[in-house]
Amino acid sequence: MEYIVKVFPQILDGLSITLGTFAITLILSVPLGVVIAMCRISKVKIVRNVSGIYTWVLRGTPLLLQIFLIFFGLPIIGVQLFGRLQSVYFAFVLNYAAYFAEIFRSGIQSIEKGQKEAAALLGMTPLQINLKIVMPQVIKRTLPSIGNEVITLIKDTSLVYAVGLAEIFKIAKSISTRDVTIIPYLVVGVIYLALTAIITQCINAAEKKVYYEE
Amino acid sequence: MLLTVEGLYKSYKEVQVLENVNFQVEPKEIVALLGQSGAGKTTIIRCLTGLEKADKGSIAIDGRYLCKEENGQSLYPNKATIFDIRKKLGMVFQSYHLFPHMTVLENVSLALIQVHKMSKEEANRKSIAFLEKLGLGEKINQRPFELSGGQKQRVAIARSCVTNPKLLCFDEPTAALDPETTKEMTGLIRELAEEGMGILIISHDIPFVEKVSDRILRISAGKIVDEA
Repeated sequence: MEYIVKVFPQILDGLSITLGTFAITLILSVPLGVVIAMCRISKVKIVRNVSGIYTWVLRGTPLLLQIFLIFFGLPIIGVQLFGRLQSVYFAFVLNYAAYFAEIFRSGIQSIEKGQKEAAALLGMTPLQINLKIVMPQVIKRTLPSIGNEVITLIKDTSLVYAVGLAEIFKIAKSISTRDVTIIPYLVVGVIYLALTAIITQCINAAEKKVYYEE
Repeated sequence: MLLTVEGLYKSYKEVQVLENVNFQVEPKEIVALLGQSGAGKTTIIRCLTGLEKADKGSIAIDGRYLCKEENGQSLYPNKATIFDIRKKLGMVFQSYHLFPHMTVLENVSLALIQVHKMSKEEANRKSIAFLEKLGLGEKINQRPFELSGGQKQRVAIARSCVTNPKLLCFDEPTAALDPETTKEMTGLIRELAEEGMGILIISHDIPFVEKVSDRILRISAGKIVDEA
């Protein structure tokens, strides 16, 4: 117990990177996902195809590979845009936007065409139809899938250790090697569980708020 | 004349769905288009509402052209004009298409607030008055899933009528109704016409259209074959 009390604050030092990666990814990838979803159902074929290839590539390759390619690969070809942390954020946002885009696309396409037609005949503009009719229903229908992605995201943040960033998992690994014990891993496991418990509660509350029977 | 359809043609790929359809609807008149499934009834109503574009022919609603035939094809005005003409139309769909995430009152007041830029209070007042008239005063805070088929249809009618359209179209209004509710619907449609609206009904329910309509146009294979 004494050992846990000793290592717990050390591990928590990495929480800012874990939560920072989580928050920035979520804040940026959701709106980007909406934009890509709109492109996926665009009437313009080239827009549809390009966004289709984007989601295929980003969902079809491991996130770790994408982090490596952005962090190590871009400088090799002369593109030096980001620092270590920014490269990680960039890779996470691009990757998660692809997943969110597919969730939103399926949500948007699940809304009956008749509802949009009924709204159009009431004189509503396409923007009003999207904001007042489509999106509220898409949010309700996609929240469970979004919740899954958000929980996966908090666990995926551990991948940033691969480029040397000291998030909670990386710190636990270092302590474990130093002290030759697996207790830091158990501590970090409990921290992830606590984080996912909080996220789950938030998602449940959100689902309850937007719930209606269809 | 409230609605004038002249020489309307529509095809999907190689299939000719409408062929030289001509008819008119006057204010306070109830006209029914009667025909079997696949006869082209729904396509006519979709062309009238601008949900489908006609290949050839003209459609005029309350003196304004939704489309006008020129050089053998239907020409449409810009989107803003189409939006404007649509405001003269109401449509009650066969499956109602109520918005499930909104209450009955929100369904009805939506267009008043969003399209006609009425204040929420005024829109609610007008919507509640309309819903009370249709016997739905106690249902205003319920959601569509809590309503019966007949009640859903009345909400759909309220939603379409609250903005005072000149022409109200019904797509198979009795398809999901029991005989008692069908009888109520007949009375309601008559009342709406007496208040000045032109009504166009598409249906294959012969007894219903015979009771409710002033004129019946029989449609078969995309053509009007008979008028009674």
